[in-house]
Amino acid sequence: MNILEIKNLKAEIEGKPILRGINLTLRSGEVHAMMGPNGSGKSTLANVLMGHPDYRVTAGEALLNGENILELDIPERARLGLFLAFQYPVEIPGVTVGKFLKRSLEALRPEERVNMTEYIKELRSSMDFLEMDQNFINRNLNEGFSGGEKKRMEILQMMMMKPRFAVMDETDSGLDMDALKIVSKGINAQRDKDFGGLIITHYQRILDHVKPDHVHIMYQGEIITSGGMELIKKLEDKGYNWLNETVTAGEIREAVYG
Amino acid sequence: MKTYRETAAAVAGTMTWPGKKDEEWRRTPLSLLDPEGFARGAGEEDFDENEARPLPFGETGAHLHYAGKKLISGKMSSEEGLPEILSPALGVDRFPEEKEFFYPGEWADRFDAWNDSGATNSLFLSFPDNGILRKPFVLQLDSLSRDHYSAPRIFIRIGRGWQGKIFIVINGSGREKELVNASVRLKAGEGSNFELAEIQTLGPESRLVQHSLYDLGRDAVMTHSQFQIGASAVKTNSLFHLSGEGAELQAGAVFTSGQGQHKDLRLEQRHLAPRTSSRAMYKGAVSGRGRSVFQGMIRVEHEAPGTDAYLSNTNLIITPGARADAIPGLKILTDDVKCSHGSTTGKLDPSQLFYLMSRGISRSEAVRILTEGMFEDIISRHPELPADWLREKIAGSLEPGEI
Ligand SMILES: Nc1ncnc2c1ncn2[C@@H]1O[C@H](COP(=O)(O)OP(=O)(O)O)[C@@H](O)[C@H]1O
Ligand SMILES: [Mg+2]
Repeated sequence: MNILEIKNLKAEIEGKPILRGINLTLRSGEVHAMMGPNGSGKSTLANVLMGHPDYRVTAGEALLNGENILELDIPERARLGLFLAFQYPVEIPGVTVGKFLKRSLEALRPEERVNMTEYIKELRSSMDFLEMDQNFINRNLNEGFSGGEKKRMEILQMMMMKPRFAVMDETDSGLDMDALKIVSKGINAQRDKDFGGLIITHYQRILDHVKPDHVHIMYQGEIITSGGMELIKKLEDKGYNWLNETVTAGEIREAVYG
Repeated sequence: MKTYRETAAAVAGTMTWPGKKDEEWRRTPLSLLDPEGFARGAGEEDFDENEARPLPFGETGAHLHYAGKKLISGKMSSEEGLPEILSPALGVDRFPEEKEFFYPGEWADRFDAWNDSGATNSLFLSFPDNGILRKPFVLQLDSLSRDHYSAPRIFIRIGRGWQGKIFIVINGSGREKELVNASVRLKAGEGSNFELAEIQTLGPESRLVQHSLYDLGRDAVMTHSQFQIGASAVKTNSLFHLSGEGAELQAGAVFTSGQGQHKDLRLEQRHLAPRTSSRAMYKGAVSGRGRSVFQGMIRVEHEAPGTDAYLSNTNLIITPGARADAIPGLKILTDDVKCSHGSTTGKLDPSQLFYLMSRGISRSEAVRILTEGMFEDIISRHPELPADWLREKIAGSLEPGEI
């Protein structure tokens, strides 16, 4: 069993505080959903966990099996088993999907030699599973991909890299119904006792397909409430205005926790 | 009467070395090339031919491997479309109509005249009319000596309608120290359609000066690429003459300057006939305290209406101490042309680095992947090049010591 404990995490960008003390524990076997209005700090949390250099951590820690990953460099975090599915996957000209994936698998598991036959076989079957054309293997990574194709590519990478914990930042946004189902199928295929997921989303849509074990709501850099599927129902009925109406995060917390 | 070689020597004697006052040489001090320090030409006794290694080309139509003018190995298949290999004198005897092109009787500068007067290896390759060569013709020229100059002089006649691929490599043992003063003159006949890739992988103490003239006849189509990877200092001038109506050029370059390297590449796309087109893409990367200079010029002569010319230069600055200069220019003497040129110089994109590193890839590996990615479209124009070897050389130039 793996555990990722985020404790009192505070972070800022360009001197502007964004995360104001996040506490969250993910265990393998669980999928959590993180919801919240635009600008509440969801992507910031994802980026800070992965080590994006633009953000400065001002307090707190993130322990992966007891080791504070905030002190590690970016590739080390990945090698420990953290994966980020990007909200906006970056185009890498001149580097094919096949070559990129092979290099990252070699980097993630330097002790194992990547068996080319096995690798290609697994890559092809994962692509079939995600209903992706095999030609993508020879295309440059994300270059000229549609929004939906980029998101599928993120999930494909996740399937190939088999992380312990995956943070999926708005993997559902910009997907049509069919694509959403495929991406959800990919995430569900990862779910097992050795995998923990954090699905960041603005909409409840994806959560109909990937049922989370826990739901958190972020607002102005804080998790103001956590619960189960019933929270999603509440958001569905009232919308995010339910949060805005209540003026400040502090007041919401009072309202929620009574 | 003086021989051509003697005339060249006499002219060279009257010329001074190019220097700062010549616009094209403004950014490359002559001292980096040090022609006076390499006064003697490399002869067979000046190197150990056992240091010559054939480069890892796959299947070739021919692979001629020289060290100086010594033929180390010469593999020739029985493919049709292979060239006749002649001396320049025999070549122009055979093709007197080309004499003026190969022996113009004027020299661009003292290096150019010196190449003719002091040539250490002269070849005239005549690719047959209407021949089709299915596998590449490889000419590998190794530099192995120390403190000598070498002056390869390569004349290439492409017969009308010839099709095929030619790779020329100026390579070093890595331990050599030569000033290579090279000259390539190529004349492409009507309707020929071919690739020419030139690769320079000299050792870190060698230098290269090269004058090249490529003349494309009517409807000739050439894909030309140069890979300027090795040597401490490089000064090249590549002139592309689109002399025949309908001629087409696709030119590309990869040039790298790592620690202690200086590369100055000049390119001219000169349109001399109607409806000719040229597209050039020159890409450089600098790191350490490396420096590069790109000088590009599109020239459209009065006789060339309907010209379509494009020139782009991209420079990547990998580390802050490195520097890349770009001087693109246009000279258009007729109407009815489509010309554009542009140059961009930038750093690595931090979001691309973050993305790759988030997949477990180390920073230095990510830098390498992004740099290779930038060059990939030029490399992939020549599928028969030993691409992995080339990529290693590129990485070695940009991260000396790590490879
Ligand atoms: N690169 C940046 N520079 C300045 N402010 C930023 C940057 N990235 C995010 N922010 C700010 O941080 C806050 C949180 O943004 P983000 O984490 O992207 O929210 P979410 O993902 O929940 O929509 C917003 O106010 C946003 O404007
Ligand atoms: Mg976001």
